[in-house]
Amino acid sequence: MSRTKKIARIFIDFFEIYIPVVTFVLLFLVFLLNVFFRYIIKNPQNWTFEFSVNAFVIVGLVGSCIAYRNEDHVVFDLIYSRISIKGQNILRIMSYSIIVIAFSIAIPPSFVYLWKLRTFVTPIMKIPVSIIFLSFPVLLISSVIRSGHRLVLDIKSYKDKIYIQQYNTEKKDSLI
Amino acid sequence: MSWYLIIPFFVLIIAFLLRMPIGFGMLVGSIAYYLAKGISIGSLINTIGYGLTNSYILIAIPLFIFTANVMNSSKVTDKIFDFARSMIGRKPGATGYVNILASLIFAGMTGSAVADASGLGVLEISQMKKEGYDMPFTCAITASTSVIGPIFPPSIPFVIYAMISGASVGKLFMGGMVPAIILCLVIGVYVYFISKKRNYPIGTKVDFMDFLKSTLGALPALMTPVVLLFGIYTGIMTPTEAGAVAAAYTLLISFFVYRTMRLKSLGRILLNTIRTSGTIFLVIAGAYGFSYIVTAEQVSKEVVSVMSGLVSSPWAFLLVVNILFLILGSLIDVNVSQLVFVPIIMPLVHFYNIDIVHFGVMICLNMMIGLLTPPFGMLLFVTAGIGNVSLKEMIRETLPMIIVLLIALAIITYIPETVLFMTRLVK
Repeated sequence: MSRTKKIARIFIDFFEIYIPVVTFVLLFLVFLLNVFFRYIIKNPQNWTFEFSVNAFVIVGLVGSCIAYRNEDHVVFDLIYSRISIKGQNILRIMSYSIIVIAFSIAIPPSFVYLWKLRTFVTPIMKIPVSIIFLSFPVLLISSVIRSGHRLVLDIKSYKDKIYIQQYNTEKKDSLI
Repeated sequence: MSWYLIIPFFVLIIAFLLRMPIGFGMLVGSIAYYLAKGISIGSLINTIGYGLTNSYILIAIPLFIFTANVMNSSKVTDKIFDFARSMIGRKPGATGYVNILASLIFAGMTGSAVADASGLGVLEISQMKKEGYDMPFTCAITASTSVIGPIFPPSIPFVIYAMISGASVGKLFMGGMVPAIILCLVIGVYVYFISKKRNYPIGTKVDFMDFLKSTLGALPALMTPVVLLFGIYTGIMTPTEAGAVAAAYTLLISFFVYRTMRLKSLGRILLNTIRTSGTIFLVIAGAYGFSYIVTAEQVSKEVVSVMSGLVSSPWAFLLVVNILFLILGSLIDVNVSQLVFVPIIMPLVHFYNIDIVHFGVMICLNMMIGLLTPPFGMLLFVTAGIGNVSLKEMIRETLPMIIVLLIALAIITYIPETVLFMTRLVK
C-alpha cells in the first residue's frame, strides 16, 4: 500500500471507526457513572445527561459512515437482485450519482448553518453545538467521497464490460 | 397538503428501485423537498440534530445491541440452551420446545429478533440437525421463535415506537410480556402436533443433578433480565440506564464468571455495535427529515379526515392497519415501516381512542411477523443461511408458523387486556 493510501486509510478510520467507537465507550461509561452517582453517592450529576445525548448524535450519525463503508445499510433489493449484472451495474451508477449530487448540494448550506450555530454551546458542559452537529456534514462528506469512488469503479466496470461490483466483495458476517 | 409532498415520496420510491440505502433515500427526498420549497437545507441539521438530542430514550438502542453482541460472542447462549433443555426433558419434539423456551429467555436479554436468530439460532439449528430434525423445519422454527425477541422486554422496536408515539417504554415492556407468552404457547401447540405427525426425536432424560448443574450454570445469565426489569420497574433506573447496566453486567459475567470473553474480541464487538447502530440511526435521521415534511404538509390531518370517513369502528381500523403493516413488513425493513408510517397513522389511533401501548405491542408484533414473510424476510435469510437450506423449502415450512403467529396477532389485537393487564401494574 502506498504511503498516501496508508495516510488516507488512517484518516478515514479515525473519523469512521475510532471517533464513534470511543464516543460509544465514553457514553456507556458515563451512563454507569450516572447510576453510580445517583444511587450510590446520592449526588446526581447533570452533565452526564447532557454528555450522553450529545455523544449519541455522534455515535448515530458518524456510525452511519462505517455502516455505509461495509454496505450494512437497509436496502430494498427485490428488483436489483432479479435483473442482469449489467442492469445492476446501471442501477448502482444511478444510485451513486443521485447520492453524490444531492449530498454535494447539501454540504455548503450545512456548513453555513453550522457557522450560524458557532456561538451556541450546551448549557452545562459548554460544548459548542456546532461540534456536535458537525457529525451531519461528516456523514454527508464521507458518503459523497465513498459514493464517488464507487461510482468511478462502477463506470469503469461498465466501460470494461465487466459489470460486476468491484468493492466489498468479501462475504460478510452477521453483525449481531 | 401541497403537491410538494409528492417529491420526497417519489424520491423514496426511486431509492427503493435503485437499491439505494433507504436512509439515504429519505435524506435525498428531504433535500429535494427543501430545495423545491426554498427552505434552507442547513435547517435539516436542526431537524435531525435536535431530533436526536431530544430522543434520550433512543440511546437504549446501541446499548441493547451491545448487550446482544456481548451475549453472542461470549457463548452465554450455550448456558441458556442447556438450561432450556433441562427444563423440557423427555418429550416428542423436545428440542423444538427447547428452541421456544431458549428464545424466550434470550429475549429477556437482547430485544432483537436478528440477535436471537443469528446468535442462539446457530446453536439451536446445529443441535436440531444433530438430533435428526429435518432442516427446513429446524430453520423455520428458529426463525419463528426469534419473533419473540422484540416482544418480550427489552425491545428495540418498542423503544423506537415509544419515541414516535410518546408511550411509556416501561409500560410497553410490561405490555409485551403476556403477548410473548401467547406466542410461545401457539408455536408450542404447533410443535406438539407436527412432532407427533413426523415422529420427531424424544429429548434426553434429565435427572435432578443435571437440572441443578445446568440451572446453576445459566443462573448468572438468567439474572440479566432480572437486573434489567428490576431496575426499570422499581424506578431505580430509566430504561436507557438499565440498558447500560445490563450491558455492564453481561460484560462482567462474560469476563469473570464464564471467562469466555477476551479483550481482543471486545474491539470487534464494539465495531459491530457501531455498524448495527449506524444502520438504524441513518433510517432514524432520514425519518426526522420526513417527519418534518409530514408535519409541515399536515398529512396526518388529511389521513384522519379520509380514514375516519372510510372506516367506522376501531375494530375495522385495527384490521386495516394490521393488513397494511403485514404487507409493508413483507416489503420493507421494520424500522422504515415504523418510522415512516406509524407517525402518519398515530392521530388515527387517538381518534379511535385506542390505547397507544396496546397499539404499539400489536404493531411491533405485526412487523416482526413481516420479518418472516418474503421477499423482505430478514429472519428467513439469516436462518436459511445458517442452516444452508433453500429459501423455497424454508418458506414452505414457515407458512403454517406464520398462520399460527397471525392467530396470536388476532388474539392480541382484539383482546387488548392481553397487553393492558400487565401495564396496570406499572404506575
